[in-house]
Amino acid sequence: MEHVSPTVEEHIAKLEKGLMSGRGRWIADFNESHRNFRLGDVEFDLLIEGNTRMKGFLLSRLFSFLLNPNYPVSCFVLSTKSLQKLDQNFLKKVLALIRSYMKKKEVKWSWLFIFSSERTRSLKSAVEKIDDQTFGVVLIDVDSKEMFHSDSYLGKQAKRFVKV
Amino acid sequence: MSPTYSPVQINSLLKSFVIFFIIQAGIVIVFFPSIWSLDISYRLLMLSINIGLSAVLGWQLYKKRYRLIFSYNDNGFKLKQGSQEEISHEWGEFSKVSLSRNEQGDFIIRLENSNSFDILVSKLKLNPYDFRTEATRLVQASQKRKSH
Repeated sequence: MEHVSPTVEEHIAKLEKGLMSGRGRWIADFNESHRNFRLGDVEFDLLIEGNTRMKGFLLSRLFSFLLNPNYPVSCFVLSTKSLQKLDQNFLKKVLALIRSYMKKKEVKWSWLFIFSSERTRSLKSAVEKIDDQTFGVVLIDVDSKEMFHSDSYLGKQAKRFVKV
Repeated sequence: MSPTYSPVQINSLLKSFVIFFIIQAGIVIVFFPSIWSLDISYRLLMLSINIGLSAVLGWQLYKKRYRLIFSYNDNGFKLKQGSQEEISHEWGEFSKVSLSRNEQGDFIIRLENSNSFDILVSKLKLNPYDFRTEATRLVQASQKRKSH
């Protein structure tokens, strides 16, 4: 069994608990979480699905129905489990897989969080160059606690999901 | 089968109590309108009787309708709600485990295969994240046993 450092695992658990408890409510209500989700030949540590239309009680439900779009959204998380192959080509492959998933499930927006350590610094520029507006990609260096995000609105705002 | 979980669901118990309290209060107000002219001590006595009866009847309704009894071991689990028939499944019948949150904010462990089955972990007062890990372990172990 591959080893995941406790720090990374803790961060993933914290992100999951945060989103499932409503931390993402500024944009979507995340309500379904899958651990070790396999997509093609890539195993994501976590996939959380949600919708931009919030569920609530009377007024908040009406408000959400009238003002919010009904977009399914998803949040993928990858960690150091894949580090030995996590280079720019692997990132492209992962993004292509997520795009195909989005098309199949009619998901409008997706986020990809990559929890990593020093070894993936080369990915920084690759992540920052992603400008697809339906994607938010965030690279989190858990050792230095730095975050690098893609050049899209979703990428820039994604840091609100996670505290390192 | 062990362990067994059957915590009291305060909200459901309160709901059962309130249903009977309102019914009894309604009967008294409609059929005994003279209650308002009675001495305060009699009215307090009737209120106490109403509360006592509502507690007894509410508990019975809760047991018949809402109470959840859940037990599991390495092979499978059993779930019984109120007086409904007990449902039992083996972990090996499922291949995927996910965690969901419903509209009321309750956490659910969803076991999936061709069919899916929901375990209401919040109502059973189980930690949803820990029980998801436990259920995943049990499903995987069961799948391994099956394949051997």
